[in-house]
Amino acid sequence: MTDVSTHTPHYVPRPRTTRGLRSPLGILALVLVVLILGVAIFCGLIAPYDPNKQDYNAFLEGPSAAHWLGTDHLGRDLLSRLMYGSRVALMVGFGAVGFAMFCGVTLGLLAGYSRGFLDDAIMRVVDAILAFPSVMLALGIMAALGPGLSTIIIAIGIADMPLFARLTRSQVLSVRERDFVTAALAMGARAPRIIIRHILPHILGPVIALATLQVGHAILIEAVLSFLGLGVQPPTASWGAILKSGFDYLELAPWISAFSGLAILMTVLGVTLLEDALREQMDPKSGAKT
Amino acid sequence: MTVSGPARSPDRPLLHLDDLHTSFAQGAIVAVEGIDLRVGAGESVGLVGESGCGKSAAAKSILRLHDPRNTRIGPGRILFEGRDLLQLSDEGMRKIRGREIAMIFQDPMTALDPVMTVGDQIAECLDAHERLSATARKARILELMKLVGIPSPATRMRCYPHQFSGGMRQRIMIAIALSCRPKLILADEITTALDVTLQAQVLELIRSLRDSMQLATIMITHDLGVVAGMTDRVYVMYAGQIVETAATDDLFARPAMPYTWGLLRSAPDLEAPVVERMVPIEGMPPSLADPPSGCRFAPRCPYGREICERAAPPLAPNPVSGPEHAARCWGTQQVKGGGWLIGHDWRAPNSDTPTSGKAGTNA
Repeated sequence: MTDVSTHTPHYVPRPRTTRGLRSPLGILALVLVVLILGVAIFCGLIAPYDPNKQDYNAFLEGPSAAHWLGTDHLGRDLLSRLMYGSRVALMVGFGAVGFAMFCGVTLGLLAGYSRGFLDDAIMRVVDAILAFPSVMLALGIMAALGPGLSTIIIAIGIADMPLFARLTRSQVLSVRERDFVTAALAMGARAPRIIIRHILPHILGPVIALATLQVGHAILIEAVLSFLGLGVQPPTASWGAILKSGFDYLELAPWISAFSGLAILMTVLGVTLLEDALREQMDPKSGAKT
Repeated sequence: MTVSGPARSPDRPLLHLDDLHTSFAQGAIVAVEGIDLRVGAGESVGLVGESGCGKSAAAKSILRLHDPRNTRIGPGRILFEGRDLLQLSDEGMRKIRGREIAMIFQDPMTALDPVMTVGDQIAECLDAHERLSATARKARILELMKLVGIPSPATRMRCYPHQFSGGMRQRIMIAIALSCRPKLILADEITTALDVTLQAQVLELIRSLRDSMQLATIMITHDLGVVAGMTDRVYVMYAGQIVETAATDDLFARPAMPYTWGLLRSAPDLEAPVVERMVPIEGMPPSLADPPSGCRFAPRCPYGREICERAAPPLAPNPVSGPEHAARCWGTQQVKGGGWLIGHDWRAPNSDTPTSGKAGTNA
């Protein structure tokens, strides 16, 4: 905040703003995300029951003091299952986006910097992947690789990768024309150094904004895949799978689908709002400290 | 005001642009057309001309910094210590950049990476060409920053470019260029982005470094004032061609052709008592996509005659000065229909005006 170094110029203290993370929506986003992260990390401590333990006296029970959110058709505590389900959701969300970001940014940097043949080759493949709807593509990959947590991450990662590749490439094309890149080239710097030290830092802002947004998207796709039975396999708790299992008892126990849907909604909403707030926060024109 | 230095024009120049051509857009735009330029070891050469006449394009060609997909360098050769740079592999060229030939860029505001400390940027070239230990690397950075006159380098090396003033940034650029002790420095309009006092400081710095380090320099500028104090020889460029070349003293004492006169008239001169006003050269440089067929300066030349639009003059020695002084102008050449500007004093009013005016008006 305040810079105490005597060698740096004086900074004009910025006015307190209500933009970015300090805006009401930004605070809501932070609360939601922190809440879900906390639950995912500490669910072993705070969950009232083992998520897979069956209570044979309570099948499809409504919310009560013993089971706050009720139980499912096997007598398992819904709250505990949703808590453990957040782990799957976040692992898939961050894992898939991390994978997509790594592959996409690498390909985008190569394509944008090299241009020429390599650029065309990479971008045509990327365009081909982008032509498929992401859920369809992930479905296909899941069908080929078989269900499981790591294949979900890879499948969603591959489906999301083209967005990162395209964004990165477009940014690289503009940054590489800037004078300091030419200057580095003129001093004999090698291509990897130019790419990593001079180009990458300048494209990270938009990439991170996209990544935040895509976390919510990945969580949603995971829920869809699990809903379709191709995701995380039972008995592991996954929100999509819980939502699906609630479908069979929608008249008897509507809370199963309702609460799992709510968990998905809260998470995706939180992450999406966070992206919005972060983007505003990181925009130097907004006057907020980066 | 010749800078005393090593002997001029040695047998084999350090850099020799031999009939160099550079064209863009599949040859549609010829930005550099048949330039012949020599720089001896330790020699300082000026390359002067208006914006868009091909100075920077020529300089970037030397380091092959143009985008190879839409640029063609050649025909011609770029001989550096006898090797043709155009024949080198990309890796071979990379080894030349920074270590043998370095470039100082025009605008220090944009040529420094805003997210990298200046220390790291000064070491950019060292990292690319030498393997230094961390302590040796740091010592070299500090030494370079001291060399270009940056106070308290130990703290300043960890600062970012935005924490420096324009003049300081240009000093950093110079430190970067010097870091690998190159033999030749291309200084591309290095004073343009600075105010006058800073220009003087930066030029003085370059001059002293050049003399102490035996550097050859090519000063690329549109400012004849920069050339006057800083160079041994001058090449004047117009529309992609060299139109006049001479030793700096000779050029200022006996400028041969009307374009150079125009440049001199349009430059403020602090040393001479200024009686007449600065006079701009009328009109714009021709489009390089479709240059005039005769002399390229003819459409703007107040001394032009009929021959100027009919045929392109060669770059030939000016009969008034020695063979080192050449001009691309029919008015200075003793051929049929030419030579009417031999001995003409450029400060004198245009005695030619009544008879010729614009060539071809009443021919």
